[in-house]
Amino acid sequence: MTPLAILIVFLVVTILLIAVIVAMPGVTRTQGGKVLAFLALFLLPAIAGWSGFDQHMERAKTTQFCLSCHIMEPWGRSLYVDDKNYLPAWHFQNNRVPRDHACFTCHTNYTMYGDFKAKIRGFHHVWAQYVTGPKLPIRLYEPYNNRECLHCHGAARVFLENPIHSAQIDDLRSNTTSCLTSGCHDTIHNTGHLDEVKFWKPE
Amino acid sequence: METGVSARTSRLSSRLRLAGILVIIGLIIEILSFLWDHPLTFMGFLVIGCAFLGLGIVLFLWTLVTLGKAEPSA
Repeated sequence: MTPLAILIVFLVVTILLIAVIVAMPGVTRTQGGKVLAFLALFLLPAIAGWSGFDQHMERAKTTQFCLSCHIMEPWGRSLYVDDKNYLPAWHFQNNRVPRDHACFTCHTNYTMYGDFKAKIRGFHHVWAQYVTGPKLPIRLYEPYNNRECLHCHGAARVFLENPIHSAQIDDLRSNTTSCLTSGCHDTIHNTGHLDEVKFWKPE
Repeated sequence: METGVSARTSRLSSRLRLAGILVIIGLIIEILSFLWDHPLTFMGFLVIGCAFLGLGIVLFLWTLVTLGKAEPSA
């Protein structure tokens, strides 16, 4: 049974318990009825609300969720570019990031509550999508932080033994030099050039 | 005296019913929000579903505070 299925069963049971109170409010005159009312009208709904929020937060990390807004479609397509210089595509196609959480893996902060901050920005995205309209061209809020790369690569032997990396490791760790600096890993989503590239078709 | 108790019981029942209905609506919205994986369903759950849940819970607590005094035993 998936967590979602368990949650839905929990919600249905809660609804049934509340229905008893709604149909027979007189039961709350007994001690057992008072306990039932407290459970059904306070404790269980509070747990249900928090669990629902948590479930939605988890679902919001999925690639499918991020790409569900039409405007993100080119970024989704860029993950299938058949060119290993395209950094996100290469990570995505070779399972260096989980495919079902591809966007969130690289576009969140790995600090405490980082993903909550990311979700607050997500609310702003929804607002921009449906109310104010997105500001074009789409850009990151702040320059891409090396921490997102070093979270996985930082302790990897192949990374540390690379002379280009080791020569400037302090600058990379302090974010003084970006991993995406021109001449390094500078081909990212490149959505403006998707008409000029070949695409990988997974079997 | 008896009329007062009966009126209070009636108000208690109707408020519990209303609180229950509000919470049920919130929970149904929550279940429906899981049918689609889209930012709007998340917002729907958060803004509408949680509002109904919260109103129902607050009404229940308010009822406890204002009308929930123990009735004198017969």
